[in-house]
Amino acid sequence: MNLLLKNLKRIDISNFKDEGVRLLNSAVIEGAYFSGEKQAFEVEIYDGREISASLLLGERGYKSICSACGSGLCSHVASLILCYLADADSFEEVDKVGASFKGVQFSKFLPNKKKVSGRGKDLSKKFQVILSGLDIAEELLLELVKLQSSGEPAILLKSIKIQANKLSEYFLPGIGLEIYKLLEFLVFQKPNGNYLGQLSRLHSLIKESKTQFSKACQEGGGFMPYSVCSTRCGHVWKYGELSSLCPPRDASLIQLNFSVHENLLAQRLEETGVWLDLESGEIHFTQNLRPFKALRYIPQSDSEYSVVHCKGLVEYPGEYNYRVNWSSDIKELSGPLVNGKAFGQAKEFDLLELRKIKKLLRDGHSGMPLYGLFKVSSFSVSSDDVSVVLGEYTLSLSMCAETEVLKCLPNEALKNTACLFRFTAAQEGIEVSPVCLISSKSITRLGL
Amino acid sequence: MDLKSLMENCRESICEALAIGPALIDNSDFQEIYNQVQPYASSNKALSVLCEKLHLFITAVDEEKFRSLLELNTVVEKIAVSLIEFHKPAMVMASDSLIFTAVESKEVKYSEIKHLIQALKMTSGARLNLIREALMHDTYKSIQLLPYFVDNIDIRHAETAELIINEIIPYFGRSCIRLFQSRINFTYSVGQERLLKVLVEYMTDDEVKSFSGILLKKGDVGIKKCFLKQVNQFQIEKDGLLPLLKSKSPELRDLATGLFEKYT
Repeated sequence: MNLLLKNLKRIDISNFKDEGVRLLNSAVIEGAYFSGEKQAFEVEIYDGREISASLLLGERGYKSICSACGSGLCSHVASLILCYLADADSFEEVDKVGASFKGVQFSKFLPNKKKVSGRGKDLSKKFQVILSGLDIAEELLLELVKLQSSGEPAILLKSIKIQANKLSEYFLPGIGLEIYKLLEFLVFQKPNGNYLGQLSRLHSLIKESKTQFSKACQEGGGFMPYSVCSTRCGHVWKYGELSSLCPPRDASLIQLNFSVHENLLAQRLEETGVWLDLESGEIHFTQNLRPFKALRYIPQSDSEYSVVHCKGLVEYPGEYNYRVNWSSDIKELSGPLVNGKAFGQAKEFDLLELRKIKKLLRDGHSGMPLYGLFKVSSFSVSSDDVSVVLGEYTLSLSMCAETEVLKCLPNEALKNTACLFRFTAAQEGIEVSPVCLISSKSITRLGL
Repeated sequence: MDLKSLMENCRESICEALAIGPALIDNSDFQEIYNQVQPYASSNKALSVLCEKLHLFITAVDEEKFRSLLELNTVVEKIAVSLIEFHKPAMVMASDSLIFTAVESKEVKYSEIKHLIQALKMTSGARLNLIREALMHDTYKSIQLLPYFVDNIDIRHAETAELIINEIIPYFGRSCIRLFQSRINFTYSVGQERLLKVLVEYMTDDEVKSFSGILLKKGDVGIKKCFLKQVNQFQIEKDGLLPLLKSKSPELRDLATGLFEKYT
């Protein structure tokens, strides 16, 4: 156990939930402090919520550093641990329990006794709160519509902002963020096509979420609806919860793109990796969301050039590309065989794919661009323009950094290739950007 | 009925309604759209929904007007998004005939170059040091960084630009040509002069010759002068020089005359 702690100095419980629970149990109950080990171990805990803490276990006891109050063993640290062990849905629920930390029997939270998250637990109360939050969100949208014509827009704007912030209390931080995005837009610009698009997407999301949560409520509230709407509303899916809803599987993945986006509105770094499943040919993505406040507590993810053999891969709810997470992995150096396999997974771009992409860009709720790996008939590259022939279709590539990199490749390297494309809807049309070029010999990443 | 322009009209009317308030808006615009859509409503499900929402908005009053505007906007946006198409080139062209060999790109992890990327995207003073660091660790050899390096040639800070030209561009060689060409904006500046110089250096005589036609046509006096200083008589079309012989700028005229005389 101590060795494990030594190797895993930072434990991100959101990724290693079961492992984290086991380690914390052992560490706190019978670990370093109680066993009298002389070495100190630093365990950093973060669970994607506001509070993060680090716990230092050693022969003299444990020392904790809390991001909220910076004091010693505070109720935050204790309740953070408890929150996880008890599988509580909100931090507030256990904050009071955490205050009486020393009196709490940890053993009752041992993993074998713990219920699988989301299953069998009555969530209908939570769903009722969410539904009332969605009603508030809908009212806020109406307020936004009234905003421009209101006699005192500044006052109304302030009141909408306050109420949007409060949506977190209704388990809807995602919706709150979207409303905030619309407000930011109105502060600087007049309503235009982009604004109307955002407004309509949010309106559909709220309506769809209402339907789903009402249905879930009627069905007894045993499960969080396994849908994109739940994610967009702000539900943080835990590994255990996902594995009970979608059976974990083993898979071999290769990363085709890695990017980092600074989301100032959400106050977080979003590290996104795009992966190809070498067996099924599906394109998945991973996301590491790191709030600015907790940057030092969440290990950063990075580009990966090896093949990753994942164990216990689970899929988040999605539409075209699915966000994935896995419990453990083994890395293996990539080689020509892998490149050939990846190249073989490229699909033909046909009418069916085209319709699918268009439909999802119209009706999708995920808010993510769509990624597809397609066989390329040919590229046409000049200094001003790059276009691609995909089967019967010739498409212009948008002028982004990735397309610029494509221009640096010789014409020979652009023959007999497959390419991972990113599709995004814009006012003027669907934008297509190249992301990664795959031939039977090599994989060339175009983006950072 | 042109559905695309109809949706545009609808969007404009909704924007207007949002700006002045739906309660104050004249319904005539929406009524007109309704009249256009209505005949097709029975044959198309989406149009029938649109018709319904338009009718609701037109007839609604007070608070209900806002609500129906929101509903109407959602339907209009869905139809509008379903009408957007993939960008298609105006004319399908073959690739240019530029010949060069592929450069071996180093597989660099994001964490190794994140500071460099951030610095290259901004006008930060840290750029120079970070580029030097990249040279030490060979991280500059990633082709993904090339567009950012090329962007940093056309800047005022000479030391950074020269370092990129002398230490980084030689590694990528001719593969940068298309990027250089796309960044020439035909207006003179110190950065553009630098870019032009390095472009001419990596192009073959024939390539410079074909590029000279465009540059002498589109460029301003400053960039033309700078170009003529870089090239010799084998790199320029004789016909392209003829208009420059009558140029109002004495220096440009002299440069053109000098090159023209070498021909004869």
